[in-house]
Parts: sequence; structure tokens; C-alpha cells
Amino acid sequence: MIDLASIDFIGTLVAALLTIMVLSYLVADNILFRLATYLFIGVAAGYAGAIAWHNVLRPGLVDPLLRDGFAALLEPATIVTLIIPWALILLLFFKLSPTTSRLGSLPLALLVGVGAAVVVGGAVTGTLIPQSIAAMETLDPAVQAPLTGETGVERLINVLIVLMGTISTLLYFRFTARRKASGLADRSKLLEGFAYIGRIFISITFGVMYAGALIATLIVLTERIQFLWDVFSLFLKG
Amino acid sequence: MAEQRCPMCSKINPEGVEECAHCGARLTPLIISSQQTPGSQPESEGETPDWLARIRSDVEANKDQDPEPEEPGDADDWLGRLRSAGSGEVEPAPDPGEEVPEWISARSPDESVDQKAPEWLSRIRKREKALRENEESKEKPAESGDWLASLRGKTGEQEAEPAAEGDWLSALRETTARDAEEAPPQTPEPLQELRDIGDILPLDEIPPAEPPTVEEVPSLDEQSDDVPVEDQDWLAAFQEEAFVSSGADEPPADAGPPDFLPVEMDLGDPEADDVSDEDIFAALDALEDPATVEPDPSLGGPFREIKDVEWIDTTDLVGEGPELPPAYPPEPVSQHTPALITEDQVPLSTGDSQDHDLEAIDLPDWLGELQETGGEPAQEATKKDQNLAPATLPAWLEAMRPIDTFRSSVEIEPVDDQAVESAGPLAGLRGVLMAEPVVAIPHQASVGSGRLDISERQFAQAELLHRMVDDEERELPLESRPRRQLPFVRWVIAALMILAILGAIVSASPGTTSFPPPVRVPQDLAPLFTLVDELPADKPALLVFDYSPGYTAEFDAVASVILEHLMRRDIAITTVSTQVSGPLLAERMIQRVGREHDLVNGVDYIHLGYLSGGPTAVQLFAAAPRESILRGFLLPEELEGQSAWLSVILNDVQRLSDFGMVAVITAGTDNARVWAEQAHPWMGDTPLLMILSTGAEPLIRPYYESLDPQVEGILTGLPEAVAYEQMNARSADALARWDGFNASVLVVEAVLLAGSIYGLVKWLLKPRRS
Repeated sequence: MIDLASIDFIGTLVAALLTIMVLSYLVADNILFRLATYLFIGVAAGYAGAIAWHNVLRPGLVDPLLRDGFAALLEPATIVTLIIPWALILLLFFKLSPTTSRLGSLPLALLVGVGAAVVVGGAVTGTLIPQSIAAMETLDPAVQAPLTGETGVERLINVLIVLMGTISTLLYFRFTARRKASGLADRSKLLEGFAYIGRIFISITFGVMYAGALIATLIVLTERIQFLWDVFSLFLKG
Repeated sequence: MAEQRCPMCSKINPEGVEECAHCGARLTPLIISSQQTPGSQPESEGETPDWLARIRSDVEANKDQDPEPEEPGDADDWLGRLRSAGSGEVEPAPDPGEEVPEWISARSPDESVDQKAPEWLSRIRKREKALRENEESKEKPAESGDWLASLRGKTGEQEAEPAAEGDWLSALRETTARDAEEAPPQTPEPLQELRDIGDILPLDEIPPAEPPTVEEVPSLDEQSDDVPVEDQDWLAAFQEEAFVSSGADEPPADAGPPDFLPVEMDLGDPEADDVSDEDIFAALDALEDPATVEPDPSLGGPFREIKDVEWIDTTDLVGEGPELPPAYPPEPVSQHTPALITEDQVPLSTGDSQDHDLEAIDLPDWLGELQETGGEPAQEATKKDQNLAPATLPAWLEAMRPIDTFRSSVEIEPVDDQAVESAGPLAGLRGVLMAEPVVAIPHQASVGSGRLDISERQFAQAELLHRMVDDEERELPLESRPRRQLPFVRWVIAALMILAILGAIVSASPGTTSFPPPVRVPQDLAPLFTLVDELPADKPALLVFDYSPGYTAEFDAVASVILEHLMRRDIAITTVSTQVSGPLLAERMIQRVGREHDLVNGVDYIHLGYLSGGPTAVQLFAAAPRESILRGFLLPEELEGQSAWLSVILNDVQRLSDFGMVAVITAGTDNARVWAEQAHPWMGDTPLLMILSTGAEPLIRPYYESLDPQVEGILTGLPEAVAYEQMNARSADALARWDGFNASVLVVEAVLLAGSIYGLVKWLLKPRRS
């Protein structure tokens, strides 16, 4: 009988070995690092295929046919949930041949069109309009932020910073301008000043994002080294 | 200075030049010159095919057997016999049933003329002799020669189609046809052959006929016996027409000759009444070669003025004389041009070659009689046209030539003087047109230049191309690779960080930290803790695991505090993910955090699994959660093969707002934004929390800080997680990594500080201009 503790120990050992193989990139690009990378990619792809079959395809397209037979196709409710998906899948297979690839464009067009509509609609209703309204918040110091509890001068300064950052960033991305005789863009000094402020905001934002990514990697590095130390301690303890 | 004219371009070239300087054509024969003896063998005889050798040998043998050229006296001789034949010393008229004409049969096979006769004619004469011996045989012998039979057949066919010919000729042919029915061999084959030649060959290529001998030419009496009187209607019509043109009231009873006929023609003579187209051909022969015809003053025939019958030649030779034209006015003798030119620039003489001599063709007796009667006018015409070159075309015939025909002023040499073709399928023949100017001699450019004129731009381009080719051929020196430097800096920084983390981990004692935990609680953490702490326990919390396995270490420390808080409050947990690996990460985290809580799958937590479709799937899930996820992930045994929505946790969940909380654990801003955009309209009063990676927090923060926030809580970074644990009065993974994280941050800050100092010093020590 297989001991679960042994399985956990082997799994822990393999995990430690793969961690060392990945960390070997510190020396140079080597076969151990590449082997670990390829292994992760292969395992992830295989696992994704298995998940897609067990969680999406089989319960959605196969199980109804196996459970109810082809009589399920005669039901009106299955037209949208079963027949049309099968038809789109079969049409998608025509993409394999260049001569029949035009037939496969229908499901692709459906995917792209619906996806774009959902994304754009969500961006407009969920981001553009609410954020525009948020940028036009009142400067009344008496108003209190519902979640942060900011109020008074603190909130006023914070709102002004957000407003300045939004406007200056938008002005920085305004590339239309009159052309001088020398060929350079003729932009007003005020516009140039706001664009410069916008560039500062953009730099700060990217710096914060990079610092956050670096902090995240430091957390990961700390966890991996601690894991290796635990495994090493386990070996030392026997 | 002697010159020679190019046969191709007719331009003058100096003598001795082999090729024309203007067109490149060869001026002298390529293989054998014209001075080479016919009997000489070419040098390449050994390479000559057998058939060509046989042909050449036959040619040599024939030349050896050829008699001497016929002396001018021969013509006189046959003319003399012709005169005697015309005076009544002729044989009786032949039997109409005979196949061979009388003039052929009258010939004696042992005469010297037979030696010049062609082979086919000799066979005819022999056969005629045999027929004479057997007079009972009146049928046409089939073995009389294929060519003769074919000619007869052709004659019969042509007689069957008289409409295409002139009335007079048609009438004559009809008469001949009727006679042919009674006596098939009535049609004179030589005449038919002459017609055929006239139909096929151009006018300037018709060979002149050989003067017939006395035996060949029958008398007019004989001819008059052969041709019925009623067949001479066409002549009567001519006489009537001539009468009308002369202005007389009525034609004379004896139907005098028309004006286009010679005025001296005595149509009242019974012999003249028998004039037919054959007679006209005889007159043509006399006109073609008047030098060979001696005028007979005793003849008072119709050909006293031979120039008046020139139209006969044209119409009859061409065979297109449906109607006889009126008399042509006499044309002056013009400069004639030869039809053919040999390579020696000598005009071709028809009288010296049997191939081009109409007189070489045996004529019937009736034609010979015409020739006899027309001898005197022909001689007069010859005197008028003494300057007419032999074998040239008369003016009227020259005028009928197509305009585009070749006209050269170069005289054509006699056939005997022409070179014998020594190669090719025409070997042994004379008068062959040279093929070398067309196929053998390469034509040179008329305008040649030994200097290449190019412009400066072209020269520059050529020079550029030359340099490019040179550059391609040039062997580039091997670049010395810079010696690869070992990444010592990277190794030093990595070593520092690893040692710092290890030092913090090793030095830390359990339950304590080397680095103090955050003293000041973040401003956003209290509302979040309060929110989670006040969640209704009867509603499940939905956790969205939308991060990749690479962020597992971070979210194990950050998200576990929320999960621990939920578990501690016994709130059922439901997981879902738009990432493929999300359900497995959710299971792993729950197992790690819920190890102390004895969680049961299907009772304390349930995995909805993978939600495929990206933003569309999120919207669909927010609108109808039960329709978007059909089964689940790692369902308990009692729900094996069924849907996760059948679990006790999700019994009351129909919409997204039925969850007590929705927490999105993601490392990417896009996933967080999608959930904020797509799911928030369907959330209702259900709070939306964001557990973010440190790098994604700045972009999601506006959704949180607005007056109408779309995100009710944000938890990000290890410091907040440690603070949350402290608020939760429980130490977990966040506090366990606090020392190592702080040590690594210190190393990073030290490295950044060292790098900044190094850069500043380097910038200060950098030598500047002026």
C-alpha cells in the first residue's frame, strides 16, 4: 500500500529539485533551467486540456447526448445549448483546410464579435462612465469618502491630485498640434507644462507598478528559500 | 574596277568579296563554285548518303550520254520538215479510235530526235508503233503509261467543267469530249500538259516549248480533218466581231479574220478555218522563240504579224479567257527583266535549256502547223525585238506580272552555265536558288559599333555593381569576440539576497519575528476586516482564483488571511476561476488553510471549477451562474456526476447577488477590471473585494476610492496581510515570511542605494569638457 506520507515526501523532493533547477539560471542559461521550464509548460498544457474536457466540453456537449440520446436534439431548448454549439464547433474544424477555411470564419467571427462587444460595453459602463464621474467629484471638503473615510483638506488634496493626474495624463497623450516652419510641433507652453506633469504621473504609476511586481517576487523568493530550508532541515533531521 | 552585285540586296560589292558588305549574304557559292566541273566530286563525298551518290552518278551518266547541243541547223531541219509536211507530204489522217495523236505516232523511233525526247515520249512512241502493228486493238491501253492515263483522266474531268473556261474553249472541249467518247485518245496530251503547266506555274516560269520536228507536227490538212467544221463557231464569232469593229455593214460571207488576228491570216483558206486554241499555242511558241523559227514565205497564214496575237498567249496560257478581248494596241518593246538570276548574275537563257524551253515540249501536228504558218511573222517580230534578251518576258507579259514580284536588272545566265547543285536534295540540278543567304550565312548587324556608349549614371551603376561583387568575394576578417564576462554583479546580488533571507529565517525563532510587524495599520484594512467580519454566515462567499501558479507564494500569504477569517466564521466557501489552473490552486489553498478547521468538501466549500470564455463568461456567470457552470471541480462523492449547484452550499444561490461576498484573487489588472466591469452591475448589495498582487493595486485603486465605489475592499501586499493577521489575532503564512521578506527588501534597498551612489560618483568623476 502506498504511503501518503511517502507520496508527499517525493512530491516535496521533486518540488525542491525543480526549484533548484529554476534557480540555476543565476549561473547561466543551462539545460536544467530549460528542462524545468519545458516541464512546467507541458504539464500546464496537459492539465488545461484535461480541465477543458472535464469541466466544459463533456458536461456541456457530450453528457446531454449520452444521457438523453439524440432525442435531446429534438427539444427546442437544446437548439441554443447543444445544436448551435455543435454546429459552431464543426464549422471551426473547417479551419484545418485552407480550401474550407472560409466556413470556419463564422464561429471565429462570432467569438471575436461577441467578445469585443462584451469588453467594450463593460469598459464603457463599468469603467469609463464611473471613473469619469469619480474624476468630477465635488471639491467640497465636507464630503467624506465612504470607504477610506477621507474628508476635509486631506480629501481635497487627494481629489486635486487625482484630477491633476488624470488631466495631465490625458494631455500628454494629445499628439495633434500645429506644425512650425521648422517642422516641429507647435504646442502651447501651458499644454507642454501639463504634458510634462502627466509624464511625471505616468512615471510614478509605472514605478509603483514595478515596485509592486518586485515586492511580489521578493515574497515568492522568500517563500521558495524558506521551502528549501525546510526540506534541507527535514533531511538534516532524517 | 570589276564589281559584283549582291543577289539579296542588289548592292554593289567589290570583286572578290565572298560576302555582301551590306547584308552579309554570300556572294559566291558556299560548297561548289560555278566554275567547278559538274563531274567533279565534292570533297565530302565520303560523307554523302547513298541516295545522293546514286543521284549524282545518274547525273554524270546522263551528261555523258547527252548528245551535243542541238545546232541551230536542227531547228532549220525540223522546220524544213515542217514545211514539207505542210506541203502535203503527210500521212493520212489517223483513225479517231487511236489513242495517240498522229503527230506522235508519225515520229520514227530511230530518228535522232528521239534521243532528245523524254523517256515518257519514247515509251509512247513505242506503244504507238505496237498499236500500229495491231490495228484491231482500238481500246485505250491501260498500260500506256500512268502519267498519260492520268492526263487523260484529268482532261476528261476538265472537259466536264467547261463553265470555268471561255465559251470558245469550252465549245472546243465539248467537241473534244464528244470525240473522246467515241475515241478517247483524241485529246492531245501535250496540249493538256501545257495547259496544266500554264495553270500551275507563273507566266514567267513557263518553259518554252521545244521546236517540234516534222514528224511531230502534223499538217493543217490533217488537223482540219480532225476538227469538225461546226466546232469552229468561236472563230466565226471572232470574224463577226472583227467585222463590227471595222464598220462594215455585214460580215463577209467567208467570215474574214477579226482585227485582233493577224490581218494577213487567210481565213478563207480551209486550213485557216481549222484554227483552234492549239493553233494559237503554236503561234505562242513562235512568238516565244522567234529565233528558232524561220519564216516561211510560202505560208500566207494568219500569223503575218505576230505582234497582233500577243493576247492569245496571255489568255490561253493563263487559261482565264472566257471572252476574247478586243485587239490590243501594239506595245513598244521595253527593257525586259529576267525572271530568274543565277549566282553568276547571268540572265537565264531559255533556249539553252530544255527545262525552260517550251520548244522542248513536243507539240501536236496542228500546233506545229500553226507554228509553220506563223513563221514569217514571227521572224518579223523577232527582228523588231532583237534587243529582247533571251528568256525574258515580253512587255505585255511583264505588265501582267504582280507588282510585288522580284524585278532585278541582273541578267540570268543560261542554265548550262549555271552551277550544278552539289549538296542537298537538289543535288545535280542546275539553276537552283542558293539557300546559303537565307539559312547558312549568319546575318550580321547592318550597323555595328565597337564602342559601348554609356552615360555617367550607367557607369556609376556599373561601378557600384562591381564594388558589390568585389565585396561579396572579399573575405571578411573574423571579428574578435569580446571575452565573455562572468555575471559577478548578478551573483553577488543573488548571494546577498539568499544569504539575507536565510539568515532571517534561521535566526528567527518560532512565533517571533526578527523584524517588527507593521505598527500602523493601513487605512483600507479596517473597512475590509469589518466587511468580512460582518458577512452573513448563511450566505456562501465566492472566491475567484484568477492567478497563475507563479503567484502562489504571494497569494498563499495574502489571500490566506481572508480565507482563514472566513473559515473561522464558518462561512461556506465557493470557488471559481477563469484560469485553467485556478480550481487546482483553490483546492490547494483551502487544504493548506483549512487544515485546522476540518473542512468537508461539499459542506464547507465547493469548487465550481473552470469558467471558460473570458469576459463573456464572467458576464454570463454574473447574469446566470447556474447556466454558465454545469458541473464543478472535485465534487464530493455524493455529487459525483452531478452539478455542484446541487450541493447544500449552493441550494439558495440563483444569482450572483445571492452570495454573501465575492472576492477576486488576481495578479493581473485585466482580470480585476473585468470582474469590476462585468460583475458589478449584477452584484446588488453583495460586496466585491479585490485581493491583488502588489503590482496590480495602483490600477484598481480608483474603483475603490470613488464616491460610488465598485470595489468595496482591497487587500494587497504582505504588510497588509501581516496586519490583517494581527487584527485576526492569528499568525499564518504571512507572518512566517515576514522576516525573510524584510531581509530581502533591505538587500534590495542596499543594492539600490549602492547603485545610486556608484552612478553618482561615476557621474561626478566623469571628465567634462571645458
